[in-house]
Amino acid sequence: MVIISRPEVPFIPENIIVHLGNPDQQAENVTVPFPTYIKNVASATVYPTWPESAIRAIIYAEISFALNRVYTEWYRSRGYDFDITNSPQFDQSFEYERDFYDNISKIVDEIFNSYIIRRGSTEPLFTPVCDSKMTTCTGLTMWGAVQLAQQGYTPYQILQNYFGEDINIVTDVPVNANFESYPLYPLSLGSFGRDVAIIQQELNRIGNNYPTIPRISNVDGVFSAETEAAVKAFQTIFHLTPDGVVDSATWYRIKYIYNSVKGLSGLFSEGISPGELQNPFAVAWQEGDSGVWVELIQYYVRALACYYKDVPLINITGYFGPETTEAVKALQTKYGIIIDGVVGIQTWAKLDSDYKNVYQKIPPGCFENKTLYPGYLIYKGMGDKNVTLMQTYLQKIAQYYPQIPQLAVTGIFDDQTEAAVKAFDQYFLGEGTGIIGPITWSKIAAVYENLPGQNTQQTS
Amino acid sequence: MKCETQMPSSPLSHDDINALLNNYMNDNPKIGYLSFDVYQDSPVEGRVPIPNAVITVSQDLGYGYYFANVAATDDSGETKPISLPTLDRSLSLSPGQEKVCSFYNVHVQAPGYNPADFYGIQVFDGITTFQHANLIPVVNEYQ
Repeated sequence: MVIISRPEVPFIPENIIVHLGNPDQQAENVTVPFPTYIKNVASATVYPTWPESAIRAIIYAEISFALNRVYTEWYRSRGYDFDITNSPQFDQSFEYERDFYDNISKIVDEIFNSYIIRRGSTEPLFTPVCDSKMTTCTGLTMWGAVQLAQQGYTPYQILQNYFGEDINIVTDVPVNANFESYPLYPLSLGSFGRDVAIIQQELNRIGNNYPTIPRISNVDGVFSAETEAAVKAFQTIFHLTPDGVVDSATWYRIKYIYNSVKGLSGLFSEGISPGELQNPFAVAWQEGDSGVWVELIQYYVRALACYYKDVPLINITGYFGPETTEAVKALQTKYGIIIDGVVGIQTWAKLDSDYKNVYQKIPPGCFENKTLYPGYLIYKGMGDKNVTLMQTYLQKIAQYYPQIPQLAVTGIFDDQTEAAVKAFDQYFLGEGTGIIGPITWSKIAAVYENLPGQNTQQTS
Repeated sequence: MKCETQMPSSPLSHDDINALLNNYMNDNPKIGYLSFDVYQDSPVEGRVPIPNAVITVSQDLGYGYYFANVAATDDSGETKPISLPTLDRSLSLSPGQEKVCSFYNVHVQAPGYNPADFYGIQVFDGITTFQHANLIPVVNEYQ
């Protein structure tokens, strides 16, 4: 697995091996996905009706405790063939295949890849949780946590109360598995890239077993309305908030379910077909690459260079040359991430979120057009004020350019809009994808703004 | 009504049954939910949901009578959350309470699979409890 530009931290294991007994007792070992393990432990130890702060604090402690056992190889270094036991006397309670609670499940999906550290250390902190029956306790006590939560303590304050002021919670820790870690930014309508293509492929495969998930007809890496519908159906089936956004919780749940429908962790497995490895998107772009995605990166880099001034300004050429590398390095320095001039997931996430923050403050003259690209792809099936804006522009443009078919302003990116965008692309840019990215957006805006009569009306 | 014996000596009258049920509802004035996820871990096809599995949730009221609720799974192998009476959540917010939620037993059956039973599943006020049921297909050696 390739991890790009990620900090050096202990991984979250994909699975954990639990011994169902005391360490020296003859008992079965079971292999459980790490989030499932935490849901089980939390459901076995807390009442789901407790205040959420108390539940969250306890779950953070239970995650860190388990990771501490894995990371320090507490049992393995002593010759055992498991990571942890299910004995509350030695570790924490775990009841194999027990039921669990919806609120706990949601919290765990959200935070299972976070843990507590002592400041200055990277090791998951040893954070025992004791129930009221234990006579001596050196860690967090459950009822104590409930009382603190009732007094308005946050989860972090509760943890500080038991484990010291000098603790931090590390979040978004990569998962060490046969799948890629969360790309650090949520994927939603208008996102695109390799991560989207992989999620589309995986949802389609899960849909073979779960027929209520609608098929995504184009596995093209563009987060379309179809993709959103499939994500929502998946979220409904697997008890996540059905918002159509692939956040960390949804990302990992898709990965775990995909593995379980493919039996990838079992004895018989479907394997990965060659089609699944072919992907239209690279993991990272760097010097020497070219194409539309390089154009897109250059658009973001240029926009940010106009905004920051101390980043070298580049032209959008579609070729990743030394000037682009230098500008990317300058931005990486600014963001405090690894400076390698390569646009991987972390750099991309930074460019994307930074652009969304500043695009309205980019000084005029940076681009030909005045109304700037809003920071997400506009694609068939979408409907918002930017779709309306593009339709208004195209409608006006069509009056002057007979090559562009007439269209009605409906607010929805429908077939007639796609036809108009394709025709526009073909005429002005020489290729027609029918998707409005930054290049198409900028051209549409520029052509519109330069139509007779538009110059005088521009107020900005 | 006194719980002197669990065995029905003679069938209860209609009024007695109503009283039994009312007592149970009075003791469990709140609602919690139970949701099932029924599937098979097939060695060939991976995880496959089982539709139309019948879930019977029950609680013994004594005298041979049960509080029961029946639900079936959909195409994704899931039931809608089944509403069940339980205790008030305030009981679970301080230590020392003997009982803070209600307990239910569940029987799961689906054509072609061995049935499965679950005992003492906890249902809390306002909370949905999820239970996975991984069913094993019936293998008939003589077919």
